[in-house]
Amino acid sequence: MLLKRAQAGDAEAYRRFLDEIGPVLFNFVRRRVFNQEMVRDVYQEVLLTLHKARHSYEPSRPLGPWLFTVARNSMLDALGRNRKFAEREVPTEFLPESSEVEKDGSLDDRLYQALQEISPLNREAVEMLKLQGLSLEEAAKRLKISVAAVKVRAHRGYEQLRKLLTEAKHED
Amino acid sequence: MVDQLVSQNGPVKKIWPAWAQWMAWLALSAGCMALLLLKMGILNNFEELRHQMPPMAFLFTAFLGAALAAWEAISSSLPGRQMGRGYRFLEVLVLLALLLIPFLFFVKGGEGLDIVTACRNGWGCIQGASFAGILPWILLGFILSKNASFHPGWTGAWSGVSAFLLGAITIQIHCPNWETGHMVFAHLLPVAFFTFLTTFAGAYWFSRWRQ
Repeated sequence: MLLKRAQAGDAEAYRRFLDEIGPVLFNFVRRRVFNQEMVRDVYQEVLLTLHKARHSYEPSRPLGPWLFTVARNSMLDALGRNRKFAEREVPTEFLPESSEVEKDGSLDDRLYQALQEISPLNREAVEMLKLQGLSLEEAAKRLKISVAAVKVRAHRGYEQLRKLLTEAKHED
Repeated sequence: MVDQLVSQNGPVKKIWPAWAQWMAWLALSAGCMALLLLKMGILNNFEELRHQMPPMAFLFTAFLGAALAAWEAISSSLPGRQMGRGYRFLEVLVLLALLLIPFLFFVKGGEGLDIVTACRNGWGCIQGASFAGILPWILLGFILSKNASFHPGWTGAWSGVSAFLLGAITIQIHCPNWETGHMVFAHLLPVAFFTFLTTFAGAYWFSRWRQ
């Protein structure tokens, strides 16, 4: 019913629909994607595809089969694409000089230390997005990879940073 | 993310129910076939053939195959409506039967299957069957492009089978040559060829909704 109203352009109904199905879809993705770092990216891809396919829902039919067919297929597509990106990734031996990450007092010492410990590929993405302030598109262009791959690398970087900073906090 | 999607939400053009799409396409395609046959003319002894079992079995099986394939194409382009394996098995069975009928009922005694001659003599029919299938395919493609196929290649393949089978039926009703070789190579072979092409064309056309 909410989706039917959303198809007619009712923004409030669409928001309620997305709020209701959000946790269901997130759990659907989480149970099927083994790499936990990718769950959020895949979930976003599922939501985006659902948005594009919303016209194809027939209100006279049950929502479940439509919803989970869209979710399953978009999840598989997103995983396939990420796998291809991963295969194309080339490890970088040396990081480019980056004044922003130098220990100049603008960064917390612990954060600086943690940033040096995460993998170079992920660090590069985090630095570009969070320290240099580049957009996803700009970072993707500079790294010569896709926007989705930048997102994946940055997300992995944040997870590694979070883990390192949490460990450091416990040691203190 | 949710805010962004909500802000982008506007009224969407709703699709027709699957059965309505199917019926509309069958009606439009029947119209195309009728117009083409009016222009080309039907074979002189069709009235006589109408009362014989093998020609009618061939035409009926071809039409059944086209109708089933069209339904498969439409349902494969609507999330949650995909047909099961049983349906696909039935479809393949009908297509196999269609391929077998010329060999079972139309082989003339003492004559071998001369593929080269069948193709050479059937060039006009190959062109005709191709031409007769293109408009139904464009019509079906237009309908399917409004849906949301997650397997556009398959959708394209089934749409090709369906539309070009109708083309083969049209030519079969027009052509006086009901010999096995001619039926298979001049009327049915274009179906296989165009199915191959529409698989690739469909993979592009029916995935445009995602852009």
